[in-house]
Amino acid sequence: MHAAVILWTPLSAEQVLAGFDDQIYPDYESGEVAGIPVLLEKTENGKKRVVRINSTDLAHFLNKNVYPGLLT
Amino acid sequence: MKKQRYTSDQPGAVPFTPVTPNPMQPPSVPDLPPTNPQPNPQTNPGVPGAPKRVTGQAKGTLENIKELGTPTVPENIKSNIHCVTIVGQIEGHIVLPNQNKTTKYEHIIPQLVAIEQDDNVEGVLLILNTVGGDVEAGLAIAEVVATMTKPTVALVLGGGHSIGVPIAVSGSYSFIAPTASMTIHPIRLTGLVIGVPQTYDYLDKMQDRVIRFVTDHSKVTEEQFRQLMFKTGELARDIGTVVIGKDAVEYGLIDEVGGIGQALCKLKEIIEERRGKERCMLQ
Repeated sequence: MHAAVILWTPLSAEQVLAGFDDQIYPDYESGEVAGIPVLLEKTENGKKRVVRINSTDLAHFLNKNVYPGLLT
Repeated sequence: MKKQRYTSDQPGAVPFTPVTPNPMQPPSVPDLPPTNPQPNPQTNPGVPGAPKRVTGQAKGTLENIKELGTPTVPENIKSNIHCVTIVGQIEGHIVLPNQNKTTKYEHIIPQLVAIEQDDNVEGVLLILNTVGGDVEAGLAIAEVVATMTKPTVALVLGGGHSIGVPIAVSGSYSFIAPTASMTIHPIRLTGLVIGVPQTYDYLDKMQDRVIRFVTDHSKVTEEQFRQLMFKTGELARDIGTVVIGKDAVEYGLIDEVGGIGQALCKLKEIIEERRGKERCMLQ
């Protein structure tokens, strides 16, 4: 259910939210990459992708080596 | 067990003894491959159909093509400017389905806070090519950019639609590419809506928040912006206006028409001005 999402976009809501109810949510786990705490998503080929940096150290968000989307 | 390579100058080394052919023995037949070799991708990487094992630099190149769409990326560029790209849908409190390309606020906001605190970063270049998205997430990003003490220059490339408009005007200075467009239209509520006057009041308030932000951070007047927002006959399936390139400058939404070169020059100029002011304060 997506009650009261305020989307402001020229695209229609049907287009943006197509398949919303059938979404398979990825398998997430917490971990560390190069000493930086991150949220990882398991991919089909056994690798893990960085989804989000879970750190209170702001310098971690400007680290060139660890960023969302990185495959480890 | 680790293999040791012996050389003649090592103590106790086993001297290399060349095998001399026995004159009484017929010349040996060179090892020929078996007539029906069993293809094994692990041992016979040259076998047709077997996956090639890619290692080293080639592997890095393949990764770059797969992830970034280009074989090489510039490295070791030392810059005092940090570039933040906001592309696709601006994703808010709900994860959007996979067909959307999204920019997530939980990625952008901490990055902007880190930039504000990092002494090595003196300016921010915001590159926008967005179709809008979650109003609150977009406004949050715009508010962070607008309240940063470091110079910020926004460049609209392709499109800066809907909630992309407040983000585009949030910087110290803004540019729009001559071919880029911005759609200004009313905010809609998606999903389950209770048809009571309070719902419409809430939408009205949300719209006012956006209009106030845009008019406070650009030269467009509230009257003009509302006119653009509620114009009929311009969009096929909605009311509103699409402003392209120099129109956005004429309406006062964006400061100048330009591209990446102009945006970087302007950012460097503002950084220099800021340095000058800091020097004056120190004297």
